[in-house]
Amino acid sequence: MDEYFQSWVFSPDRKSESYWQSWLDENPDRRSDVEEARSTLLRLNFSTYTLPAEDVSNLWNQIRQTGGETLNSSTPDEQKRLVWYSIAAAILLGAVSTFFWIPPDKPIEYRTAFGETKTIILPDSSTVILNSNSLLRLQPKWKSLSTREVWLDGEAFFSVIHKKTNQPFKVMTDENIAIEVLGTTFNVYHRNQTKIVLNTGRIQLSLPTVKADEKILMKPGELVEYNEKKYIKRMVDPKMYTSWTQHNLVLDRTSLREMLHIVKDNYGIDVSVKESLLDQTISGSMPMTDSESLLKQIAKAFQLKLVKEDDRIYMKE
Amino acid sequence: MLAKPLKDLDRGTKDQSLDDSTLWLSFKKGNDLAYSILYKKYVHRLFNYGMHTSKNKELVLDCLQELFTILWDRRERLSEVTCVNYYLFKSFRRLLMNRLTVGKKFLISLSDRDSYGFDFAPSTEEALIEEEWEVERNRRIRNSLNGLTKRQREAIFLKFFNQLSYHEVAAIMDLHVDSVYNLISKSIDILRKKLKADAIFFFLASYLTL
Repeated sequence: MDEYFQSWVFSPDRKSESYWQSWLDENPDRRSDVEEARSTLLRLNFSTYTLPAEDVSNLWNQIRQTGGETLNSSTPDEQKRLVWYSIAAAILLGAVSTFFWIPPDKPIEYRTAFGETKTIILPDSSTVILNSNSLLRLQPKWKSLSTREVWLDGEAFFSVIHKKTNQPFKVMTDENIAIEVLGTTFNVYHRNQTKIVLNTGRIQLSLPTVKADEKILMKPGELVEYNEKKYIKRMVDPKMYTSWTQHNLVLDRTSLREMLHIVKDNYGIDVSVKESLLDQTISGSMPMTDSESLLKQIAKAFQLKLVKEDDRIYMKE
Repeated sequence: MLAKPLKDLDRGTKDQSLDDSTLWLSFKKGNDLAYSILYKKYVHRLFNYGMHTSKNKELVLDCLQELFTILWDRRERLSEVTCVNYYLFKSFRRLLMNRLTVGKKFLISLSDRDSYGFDFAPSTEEALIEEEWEVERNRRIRNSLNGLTKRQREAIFLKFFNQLSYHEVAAIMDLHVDSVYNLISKSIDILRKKLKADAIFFFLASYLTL
């Protein structure tokens, strides 16, 4: 069986089509053989076993041990007792009327500790990379809701799958900030202030500003910074804002003040530095593996000494 | 749901513009996102293949979990793989076979009859076909396809529906390349003969109804 022949049968394109047409013209006596082999292959159809999207997501979370916990989950003992109670209740009520016991649904939470990132596959196959010290929450029966809504505190990179049904995907934070998309990649930072960077596609923001609830459309490469009910929009290099997903820190005239913020966000470590040193800047990139080596690199870049005194960390001249 | 050449199963992620070997390299460096893309791309194919082999969903999911956990744990020591598709099929089949042979110790060889696994589905048109003789013909073709041995069906499944080369199919199934050529050409022969017989059957049928 000729490989070229197979590709013509299964995915005919102009090239293979014309090749086989001319071959057939030159060998008219073989036409019936070709037709026969073609129809034989086309009739082959294996049954397909499809893996539901929920299984894809659960299996991944088991593999990467990023399993979402349900909130306020009861202990196994409590759960057992609950089941017994409900069975008892069902038997009691079953005598009188038909009874359905529907287990109460709880939101699913994904959390990261300081210095930890997690890649999560959501039940709709969208991917989220959760940066350190962050929390992502999903409503129960998430996939069947009219909007795929997630709640974020911290920082995350989203790669959202566009659904054929155009079911929107919405990232919510406290302060009533909402980011609504159909299918895109973007980064959301929501800690002491909020920054949203769009890599591909389109998104719509709802921001509660001083005036009113504003709707803002974002284009790829744009950054929206929001703080104290005001926002600024500008063009940036999105790579700078998503480099953390590659455990890398890209710097472009970044000040020591900003870098110490990053250290605080990601590792929960406070570093004391004399105020007059904080506005120096550097450009370049550095790997982000652990707090120790990051602090050493920062100190070296700014030509400072890293000093530890009674559980406090200082950078000194 | 019907299997067509696997393009349909690849739906889902848009970030697949990156090719497998690039993804593999960054996965080896510990890039979780690259790994999740590879996972999303291959988990459906491997699941489908596993279900054809064993029909036991729990076992297939177990093996998938084991495969992807081992790969992540050993990522730094893995070699640079040129054909990820082949590598994953080969490793996954080995895991599956280990588990299946452990289970077989307790089974009488009933299941060796080659009668299950890699079964064919009715062709897409069937639902639309009203003509009785065509339904009958399709049923007969399907029967003859299912009359192939499990190995023949597996070889065809891997070769034509998972874009693997003869060499790769041979390595996955622990066979010589020549044997794979033989398996496949024999199967095609059987199918062709069946089609010929059907043509005669069809001719006779239409003759008799005249």
